[in-house]
Amino acid sequence: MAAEVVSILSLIVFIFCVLGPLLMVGGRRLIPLPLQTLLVLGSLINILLAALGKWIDGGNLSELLSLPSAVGSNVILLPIMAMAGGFLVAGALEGSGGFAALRVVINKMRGTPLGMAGTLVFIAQFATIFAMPCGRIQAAALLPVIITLGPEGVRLITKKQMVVLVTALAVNAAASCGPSQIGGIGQIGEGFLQQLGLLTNAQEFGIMIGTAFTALFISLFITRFDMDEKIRLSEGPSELSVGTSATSGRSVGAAAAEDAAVSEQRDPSTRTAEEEAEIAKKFKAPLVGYISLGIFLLALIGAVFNLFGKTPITTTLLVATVLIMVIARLSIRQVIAGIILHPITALVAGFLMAGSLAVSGGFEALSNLLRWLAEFKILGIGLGVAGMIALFVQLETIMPMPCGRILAAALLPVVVAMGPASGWLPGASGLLSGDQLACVLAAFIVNAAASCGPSPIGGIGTISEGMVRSEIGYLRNAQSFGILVGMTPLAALTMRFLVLTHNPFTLRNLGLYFGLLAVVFIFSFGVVKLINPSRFKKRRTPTQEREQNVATWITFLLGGAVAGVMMSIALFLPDPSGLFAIAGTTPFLTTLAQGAVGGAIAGALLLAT
Amino acid sequence: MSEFATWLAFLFGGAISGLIIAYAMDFRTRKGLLQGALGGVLVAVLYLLT
Repeated sequence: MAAEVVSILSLIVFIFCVLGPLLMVGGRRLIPLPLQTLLVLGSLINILLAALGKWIDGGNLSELLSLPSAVGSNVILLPIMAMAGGFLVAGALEGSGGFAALRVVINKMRGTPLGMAGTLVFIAQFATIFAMPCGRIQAAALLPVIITLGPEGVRLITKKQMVVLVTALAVNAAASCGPSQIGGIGQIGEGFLQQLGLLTNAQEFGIMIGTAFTALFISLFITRFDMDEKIRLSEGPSELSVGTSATSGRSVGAAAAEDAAVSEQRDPSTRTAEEEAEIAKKFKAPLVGYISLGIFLLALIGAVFNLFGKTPITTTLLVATVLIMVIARLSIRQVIAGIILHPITALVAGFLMAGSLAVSGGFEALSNLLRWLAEFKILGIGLGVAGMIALFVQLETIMPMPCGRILAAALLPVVVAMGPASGWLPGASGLLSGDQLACVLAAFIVNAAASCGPSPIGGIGTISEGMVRSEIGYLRNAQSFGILVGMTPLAALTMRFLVLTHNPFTLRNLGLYFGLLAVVFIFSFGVVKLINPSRFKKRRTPTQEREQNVATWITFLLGGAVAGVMMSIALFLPDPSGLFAIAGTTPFLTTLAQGAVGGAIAGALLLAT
Repeated sequence: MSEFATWLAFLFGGAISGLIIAYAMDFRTRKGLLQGALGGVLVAVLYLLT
C-alpha cells in the first residue's frame, strides 16, 4: 500500500517539477528556479519518498542505502560523452574559423543555379544536414549569416523573409539533435531498439517537411497580420523603404506584396560586381578555417559510414578536435568555449529524474495512468490506445522544456514499456508490437528534440525572437504547428511505410505513403491559406484580434486531428504481416476517430500551455 | 528497390519542402520557386548522404 502511494506521489512531484516553471501567476513564473535545479530537487524528494515507502513496508537498511546508487546508475554516460565531443569539435571549429568558412561557402551558393531562393532554403534546412548533439551550435553558427544578409546588414533579404528564415531555422536546429549520430536524442531510442541509426531517416524526413510547414505558417498566418506592430526589427535604409514611407498607414497585406516585389528585385544576378564585392567583404575566412571544416566533415562522414572501423564516435570527434587544435594552434580555453552546459546538465537532470521515478514506482504509476487514459470511457466512447498515443507523442511540445532531453530521458522508459519487452517494468502495458513501438519512438523523439524550439523558457526559438526583436513567444505557434502536423506524424508514417517495410518492399506501401503525404501537404497548405485571419479584413481591429485567436484554435484543432489520424494509420493500418494489429477488437475506423480526437486534444493543449 | 523508394520519397519531399519555403519567403515567380525546389532537393540528398 505504501509503495502505491509513493508511486503516485512521485509522479505528482515529477509533473509539478515539469509544469511549475511553465506556469505564470500574476505575470511571474510560479517557480522561478532553473529547470535542472528543480528536477534534481524533485529527484531527491522522490528518493526520500521511495526510502520512506520501503521503510514502512519493512525494508532493511541496505535496501534504503542502495537507492541513491540505483538512481545514479540510470545516468547513461555514452550520450553525455558524445555530446561533449560534439561541443568540443564545435568549439574548435569556431576558434579556427571553420564556421566563418561555412558562411563564405553559403554566401557563394547564391551565385550558383540555386540562386537566392535555393540558398535560403538550404540555410533553413542546414542544421539537420550535419546534425550536432545540440541545435544551438548550428543556430549560433548560422544566425550571423542571416543577420549579415538581412535588412540591418547587406539587405539582400527583406524583414519578412528574415522572420520566416529565423523561425524555420530555429525549429530545424532544435529538431536536429533528434537524428544526430553524435549524441542525439534518437540514440537513446535506438539503444532501446538495439539498432543504431534505425530512427534517423524517419526523423529527418519529418523535420524536412515540418520546417517547411513552420515557414508557411509564419509567412501566411502571422507576419501579414501584425509584423509591423510586433516585430521591432529595423527595415534598414534599404530599397524596402523606397516609396513606402507611410508604412504604418498601409494594410499589412500590401506590405507583404511590396516585400515580395523587393525580394524579386534582389535577384543576385542583377547586382553589379562592385556590390557583390562589397557583400563578399563581409564574409571572410582564413585558410585554416577551410581545412578545419574539411577535417570536421571527414570525421562526421567517417563516423556515420564507419570509415574508421569500430572506433567510438567520441574518439573520432576528439581526434578531429586535436587535429584542428594543432593545425589552427588553438588553446584549450578556445576549444572548451564550445561546450554548452545547458543541454548536458539537462540530460543529467533528466536521467536523475528518470532514475528516481524508477525506484519510487513513478513509471508504473505513469504506465497505469496511460492505460487508464486508453480505457477510460464516457457513454461508451473513449480515446482508446490510438487516441492516447496520438496525444502522448505530442507531450513534449505540449510541455516544452529548454532541452528536449529532460523529458525524453525521463519518459522514454515509459514509451518502451508500451512495447512487447514489458517484463522489466512490472505493470507496464505491452500495448504495441515491436514495429509499432519503433514508429512511436520515431514520432516521440523527433517531437522531443524539436520541442526546445518553441520553449518559452530558454528554447532556441527565443534566440530567434531576440534576433528579430519580437515579443517572447511570437514565433512559437508557427514552430508548434510544424512539429504538430509535419514532424511528428510524418516521422511515424516514414518509419512505417519506408523504413520498416523495406523487407519485403511493396508498391502498395509506397503508393499509400505518397498518398498520405499528399493529404498532409494539401491539408496544411489549404488550412493555413484558407483559415488565414489576414483574409478577413485588411485593417487590424479588436474584432480581428479575436478572429486571429479563433482561426489559430481552428487550425490547431484540425491540424491535431489530421496528425492523430496519420499516427493511427501509421500504427494500426492492417498489414498482411500482422505486425500492425489493432489492440483489442476495435474497428479500424473507430481507431482513426480515436486518433483524431487524441490529436485534436494535443493541438488544443499545445495552444493552451 | 527499397533504397530507390527512400531516395524517391526524400527527393519528392525535398522538392516540395523547398517549394513551400520559397513560397513562404515570397519567391512567387517560376524561377524563384524552381530555385527553392532545387535547394530542397539538395538538402534531401545531403540528409540521405550524411
